Amino acid sequence: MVPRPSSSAPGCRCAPPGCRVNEVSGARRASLRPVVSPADEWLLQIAQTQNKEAFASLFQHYAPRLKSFVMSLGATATVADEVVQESLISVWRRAGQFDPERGSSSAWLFSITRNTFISHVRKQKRHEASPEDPTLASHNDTPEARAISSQARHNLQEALASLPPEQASVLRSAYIKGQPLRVIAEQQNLPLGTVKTRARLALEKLRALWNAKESS
Amino acid sequence: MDPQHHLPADVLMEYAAGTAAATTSLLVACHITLCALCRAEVQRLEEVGARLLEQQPEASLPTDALARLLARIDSEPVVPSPAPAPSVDARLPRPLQEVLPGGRFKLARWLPGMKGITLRLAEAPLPPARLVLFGPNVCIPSHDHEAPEYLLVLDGEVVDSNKVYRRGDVSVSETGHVHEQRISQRGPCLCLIVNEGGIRPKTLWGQLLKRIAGL
Repeated sequence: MVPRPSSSAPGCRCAPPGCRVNEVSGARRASLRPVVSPADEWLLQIAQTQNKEAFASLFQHYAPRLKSFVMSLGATATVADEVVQESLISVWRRAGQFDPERGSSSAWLFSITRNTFISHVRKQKRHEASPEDPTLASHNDTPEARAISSQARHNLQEALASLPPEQASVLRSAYIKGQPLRVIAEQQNLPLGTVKTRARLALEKLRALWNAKESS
Repeated sequence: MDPQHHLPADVLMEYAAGTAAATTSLLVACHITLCALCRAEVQRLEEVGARLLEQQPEASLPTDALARLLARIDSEPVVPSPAPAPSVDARLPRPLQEVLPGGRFKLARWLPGMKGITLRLAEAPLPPARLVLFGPNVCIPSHDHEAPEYLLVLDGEVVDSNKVYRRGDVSVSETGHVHEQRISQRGPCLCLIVNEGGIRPKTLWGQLLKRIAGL
């Protein structure tokens, strides 16, 4: 029997006092910042109790967007269905590795799906830093070395909407269409340097906006 | 000491977006292993991808998609990930060890004071990635690049335009930047180098070395 999604509303980002998505149970409560996204909560429930209702909720919210994302990368609908299936199987198996201190559930799902696409469709290995690597440099306690805060993640949406169209277009082509900057330059008939500059300017603006709002 | 020289934002963005070539991606993974600042920056850049993902329209799914997933979860045994092979060379970040057979490497002599190995990562044409060991005090004569070169120091020191690059540092050489590099006299220097284009020697001696080494 297919579990029904839990009733918490996706998209609740306010985490007001009393909101159930702030309720992190057990010993992790003391060690975590407040969980602000229902998807964070679903992932923690999957990790802690293999909760299939939480998995069904996660599926309902993300699977249609993940499929759309994989199709934007160039996959057919059939291949996109396979990539989404493999990605979500990985999510189920690796939910214990999700750490809301290091990033949002959306970013975690984005990276797993992107990696699955790279390995299944492009037949390439995705090279990644490993937390277990003895050569891994430890974080020092500077703002630059800290992961983006949950508040700043929310500001990011607004910051993206405020970008000039030509800069936003470069980010969308890179992240959602999976196009290298060189290809974007060819398609838009622009020098590669111009496209790189647009990408750098966009990222500087985002950084300035989320830093300003984080400190305010 | 934390790395002082980092990769440009657009290179980190291409890595976060998954569009970097495999060899560039390997170099980025090694750098962010050794550099906590750039690792945090990649995490921020993945948040940009996540926000754009959330703006995606919803595609329709097969009606039995969730049921098939749950059936797989119930039927497929969880296979624990194999334990990573023990490190054979403490200088090498794990992403690099993973592409070396058994984590080991055997360098060929390319030139006096210069040994190396070209890493084969995929069938597709890629910017070459080379693991190179330079001897102390070796000088790489004046040259330029057809496209950017990324040089990650894994051990030792390289001096380029009065800047010293140490373990974890990346020297980025853009087209038009004519430069000479010298290995510190304190000891040998192990580097991972990715060239997105050819090297253009500016001296006859450099052209000869390029030909001999086949670079």
